[in-house]
Amino acid sequence: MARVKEDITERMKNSYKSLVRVKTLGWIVSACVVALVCRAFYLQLIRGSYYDKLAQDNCVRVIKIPAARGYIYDRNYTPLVINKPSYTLSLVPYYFDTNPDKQQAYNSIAGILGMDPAEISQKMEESKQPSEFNLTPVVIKRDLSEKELSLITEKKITIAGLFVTQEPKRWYENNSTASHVLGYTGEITADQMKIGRYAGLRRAGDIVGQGGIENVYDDILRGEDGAMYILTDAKGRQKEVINTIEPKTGKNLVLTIDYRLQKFAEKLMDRYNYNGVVLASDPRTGEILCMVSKPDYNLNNFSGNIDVKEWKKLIRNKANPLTNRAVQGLYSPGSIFKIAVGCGALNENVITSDDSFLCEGIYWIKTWPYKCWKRSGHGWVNFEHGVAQSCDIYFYKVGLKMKVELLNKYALMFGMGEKTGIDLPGEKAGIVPSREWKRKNDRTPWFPGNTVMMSIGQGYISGTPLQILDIVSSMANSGYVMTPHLMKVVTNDARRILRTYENKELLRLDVKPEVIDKMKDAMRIVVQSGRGTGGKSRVEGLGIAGKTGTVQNPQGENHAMFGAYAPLNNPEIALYILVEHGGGGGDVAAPLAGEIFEFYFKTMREK
Amino acid sequence: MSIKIPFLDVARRYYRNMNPVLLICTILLMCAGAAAVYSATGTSGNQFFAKQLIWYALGFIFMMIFANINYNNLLAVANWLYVLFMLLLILVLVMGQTSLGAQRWLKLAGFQFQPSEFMKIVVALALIRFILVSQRDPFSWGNIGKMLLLAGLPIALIIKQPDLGTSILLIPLILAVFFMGNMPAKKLWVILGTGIAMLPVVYLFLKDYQKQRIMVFLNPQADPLGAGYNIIQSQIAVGSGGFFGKGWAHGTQSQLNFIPIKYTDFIYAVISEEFGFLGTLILLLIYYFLIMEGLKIVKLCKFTGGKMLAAALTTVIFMQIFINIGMNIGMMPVTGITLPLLSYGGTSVLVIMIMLGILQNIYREYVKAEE
Repeated sequence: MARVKEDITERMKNSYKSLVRVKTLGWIVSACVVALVCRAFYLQLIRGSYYDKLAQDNCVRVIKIPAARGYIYDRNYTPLVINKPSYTLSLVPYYFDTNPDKQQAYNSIAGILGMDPAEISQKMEESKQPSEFNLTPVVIKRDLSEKELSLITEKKITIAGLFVTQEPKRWYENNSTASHVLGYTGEITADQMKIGRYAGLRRAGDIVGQGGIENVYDDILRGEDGAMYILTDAKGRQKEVINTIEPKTGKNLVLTIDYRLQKFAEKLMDRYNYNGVVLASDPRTGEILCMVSKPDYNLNNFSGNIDVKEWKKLIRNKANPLTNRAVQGLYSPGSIFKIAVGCGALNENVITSDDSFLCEGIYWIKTWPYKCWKRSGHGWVNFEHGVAQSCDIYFYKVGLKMKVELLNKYALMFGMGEKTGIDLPGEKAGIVPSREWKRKNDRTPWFPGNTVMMSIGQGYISGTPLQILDIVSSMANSGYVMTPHLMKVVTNDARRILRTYENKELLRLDVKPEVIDKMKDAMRIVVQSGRGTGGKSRVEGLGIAGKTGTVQNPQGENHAMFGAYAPLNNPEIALYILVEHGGGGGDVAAPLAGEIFEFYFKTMREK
Repeated sequence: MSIKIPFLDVARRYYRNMNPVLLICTILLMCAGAAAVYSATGTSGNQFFAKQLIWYALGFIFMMIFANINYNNLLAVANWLYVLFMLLLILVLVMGQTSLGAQRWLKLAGFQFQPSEFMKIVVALALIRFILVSQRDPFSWGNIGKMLLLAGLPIALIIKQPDLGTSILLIPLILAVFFMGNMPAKKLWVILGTGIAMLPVVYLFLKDYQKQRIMVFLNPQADPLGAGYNIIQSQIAVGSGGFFGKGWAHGTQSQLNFIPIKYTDFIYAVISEEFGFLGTLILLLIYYFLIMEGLKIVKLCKFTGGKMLAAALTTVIFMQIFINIGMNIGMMPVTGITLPLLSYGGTSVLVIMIMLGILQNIYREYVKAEE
């Protein structure tokens, strides 16, 4: 009985409790609704006229003020890239649509700019798609001339929706100098906007670096865009500027490039109208002192308005002026690869430096003849003589003793087949063949003939000029290579250093010091003694060591190459020259190296 | 003499005893929503408007269907629904459609839908079932822990999408279930207290843009062009509406696209600008009647399960209204919560309609029991 009673009281208590709780909920809801009503009352009635004014003034256009990109200097603060003001004409579709006669407006704008009215209307239509963006200005023409600017400014009164903004434009002081290193800027492409680096950060119409340093260090060079609030009338015509947020200029970049050396090397190549590469670096730090890739292009053609004709000409040019041969061109390393082969052979005790091989000018593998570059033959050749004379048959025999496995091992050890990690876009890795590689890519087994070709740096093996420069650098440094790089420091306008490139070791050779000494000695003989192939690079009073290379190629004349460093003790500069279809390395490339060394050590030091 | 139409006679049993206030409010809101969506999207063609009408029609049908499914049956299959929607949530994370940087959408048979929206109903059902099943002491600390886990898992998954708005809505829902389940007041205070104490910790886990939204809510003028833009522009829209508004489809703020995502999250700003304080007041009154009717159903229902369910659904609807309008007039930080029945969007309309259908059903079951 008591339990039932208890149960009933419990239930009554519970239902009373929930009634109270529902009522509580009701009060909470009512309070919240009252709060909303009060707020609406405050906003709409008490502050109504204030907000109404704001809404009317909300013909405020926000216009982006693009930040100027940072300057780029050479290592001595010679300006390479600066900015110049340029003017851009945009149309705001929403306001432009209020013009009574759009076609006439198109015609008069087109008349001033020398464009086709249809082109402008097409641009407008294309960017019009979602109506939400109708207030976003559509860029019609960048880099207006002064005459265009003044004529357009007059038209602003009669045509609604015209906007002229000032934008800094890139200016390359020396037109084509170091064009591949510097790279150009341009509007971000649709594909680029999707990459992680830019995704969400850049919008259509933003300018980003499209090649070279401009691309790699885009984040450093670009500043923060500012904004300008412009009051317009109901038709979108500019009335006054209310507020301006100043853009922040990007940071400046100091490169490792020495402008004087770069310019000298470019002129040198121009003098003979050579296509090819001149690469120089400081082997102790990996700093690139000059990087010439010929043919090149005028960077100022890419600034502001890209000249379509000029662009097509560049694209169609069979010599590929846009390619940076120094990091994107793949070439057989040629006889310079013999440095790696020779070091490998001595290091693995495949031969000793005194072993001699007979060169009769031709070497037969079964029925296939492999010739030495010197048809008459070198006679009995030892290590020193083999390197100095670049005797092919000596290296054929050494290579056959080493077999492809060891050749492959030392090619990789000297940095072939792997990107150097230089701060430039699009670097290639090259190919270091092996038995497996050939089976996979060629579907044929490895033949002794392949070994023979590989041992003189021809056949399947290929690398970029930069990698070959690193082979030379490894000798200059007696066994290690620093990562090549172009950025020296980042500074602000007051030249205060914000960031410094930290030199890194790229690779270290696992080769005995006495072997390296032997090779360096042989390389010295290449240049300094009458017996060497690189004698034409000699400079009075300067110790130079080097290695020539001549690479056969099916397209025509041989490629001439020369890799060298100087001085002999504590080398300060490593150099690599490639002249496409130039002829013999010793005859064509070595003299250029001599001139560059002379300029670097004499003319540049005197000043 | 009445004319007998045989079909209507049969159909009558499916639509009789509907709660009239709820029904009228629903229809009025649909009309207001259609007008607002039309005005907000008029410039970009009428496909939004047409789609919204289709969603309303579909939603209405769903409401009628759920008004005819005994809510006890829903409670009976609550566990299965819970498992199913958890799987769908995981599926969204794995292969969902990305929209505005968040993965919330799932494409099913050509339809995109947001499982997280449905999760509001499902979590309520699962919790209530748990309370009903554990008869002895449903609110022992052990059980509370289990229930928090039950609700916490979907919340975690929804936060991961990331959809902070929907996951925040689940919190008042849980509290409403506890509250109407007659949880002892002391324990309720303890839970509330710990929850508030945990807030600073939660803040640390927020994404940068979410933190930014909160900072901007506190001071919109700090970044008037970026994060503060939404708040400032929608406030200008609301405020400039004045007493009578600028007239339908004549709001400068909305027609000139100053209001961001104006046909979903900021549709209230459009209405306020175009219909003024008067329109706002009427709209708030409609919502107020709707919510109060929901609470009346809570009161009328004789069963704890129905009470809790009705309370949970009413609370969620109300919280959506409050948070959405709050963020439109600068009282709440910006979260992606839609305005019930007014915002454009299929899932959002459907879910609210289903909720109203369930509320109707709870009412009809009550009437049936009384008869």
